[in-house]
Amino acid sequence: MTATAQFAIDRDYCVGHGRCYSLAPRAFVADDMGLGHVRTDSDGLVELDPAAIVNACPEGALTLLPSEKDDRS
Amino acid sequence: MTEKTLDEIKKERARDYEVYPTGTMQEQLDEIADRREKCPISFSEKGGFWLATTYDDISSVLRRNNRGFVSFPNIPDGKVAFGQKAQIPIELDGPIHAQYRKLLDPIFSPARVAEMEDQIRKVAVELIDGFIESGRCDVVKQFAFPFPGTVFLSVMGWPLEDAEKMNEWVETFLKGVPGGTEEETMAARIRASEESRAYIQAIVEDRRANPTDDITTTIVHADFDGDKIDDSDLSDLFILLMMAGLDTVQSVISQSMNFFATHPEKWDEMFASEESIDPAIEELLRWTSPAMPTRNVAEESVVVGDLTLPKGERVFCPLAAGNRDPKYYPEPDQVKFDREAKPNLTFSLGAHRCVGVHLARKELRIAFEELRRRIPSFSLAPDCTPKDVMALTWGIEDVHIVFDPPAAG
Repeated sequence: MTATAQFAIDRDYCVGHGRCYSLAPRAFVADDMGLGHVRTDSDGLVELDPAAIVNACPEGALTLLPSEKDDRS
Repeated sequence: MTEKTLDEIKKERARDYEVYPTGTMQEQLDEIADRREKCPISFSEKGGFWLATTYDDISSVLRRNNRGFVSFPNIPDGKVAFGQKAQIPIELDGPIHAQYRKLLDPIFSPARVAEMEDQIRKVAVELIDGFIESGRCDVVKQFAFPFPGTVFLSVMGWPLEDAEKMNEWVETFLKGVPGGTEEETMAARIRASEESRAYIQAIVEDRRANPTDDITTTIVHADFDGDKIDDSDLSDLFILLMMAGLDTVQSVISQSMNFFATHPEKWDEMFASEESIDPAIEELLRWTSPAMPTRNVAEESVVVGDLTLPKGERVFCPLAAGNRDPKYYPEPDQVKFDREAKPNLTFSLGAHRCVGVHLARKELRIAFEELRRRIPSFSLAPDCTPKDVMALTWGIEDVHIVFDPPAAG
């Protein structure tokens, strides 16, 4: 199952549990400390339900960004 | 409106907690469940500490390391186990702690751990080779305990033939002299401490003189603003690294194998597909949950749940209590591989998130894969009596399994 989603990681709360990049390597990557980062080269597709990925972070450091098509400006 | 004093609240919420309980783990978890229902943050006059029991309160405290809480002493009754010095890095906080983590986290990063996969698998395979023909395994002694210890030696670049010696030191540190007097246990621990430190010192001096590209060399040559870590701290650090990953991983494997021995359908379910293995490991991590940190209030006052606690108060946060909170885990005492994902607390949270988290998950994945490959079916040996052990970490001993040995030829 793939979905389109964009995420943000709060640097104050990420301590490197690694759930994001373990579960959704298409969207996230680990740095050499094991901290998570949103991939800049991502095609926007993720392997799992985006809400599940957000919930997977034990620190609550992930947020789901509103998708572009929700932007009714 | 009269505000209650802290002493009045302590009296109101007094309920002694036994830090080293006898009886079964389930009995202890039932006691905690009862507390969680009746008084989620209670006070144990014995030992003088608060006991948090909900997922929300425990996670809130642990996340606030350096933001209201510190980790020394990391023991609920405040009695530091082996002298007054803070264990490195688990009982350090602030900038010095961050420096140690900046050194250690890259060494145990996902990429570095991925490179260790072959070494780890070799350890697992050879341990299983050691008992597979007999059709029987003393899970703790023949696999769960030596596995993480030997992996540790392997990744540190220390001689594998020292595994038995090292495991003996670790056992002595953890259990003292079972059945012996307090003096005997103290003497044994002092001896183990002297021997292990001498052993480590020899290695440290070797890597100082002859640096290689191994982890030990990286740590020995680490630079904290121009200062190298002194010998005493190095020794403490290596011992902590040795200990931290041993009893914990051992406990997860042993408790899990004991469970599977009486629930063979779950052993099958875990390996139903490639995708079912990792979620099963997460559920086993939740259910086995060996570690029990303590945090100490470091600011003038902090809020924990419905309480305001002043500086100096200790809050015991048994991770198993949070991991069995029915708010997030319905039927929490059941092993269910299809749970709604709620991240477990097993590796703690915040700044002291377990350094070995990626290594531990890798070790567990490989251990269970190899055990499954060689022992697709097993049961509990009728002549063993598994016994839960609840000390500074929780675990189990005397778990023996029986299975059909591999067919000859």
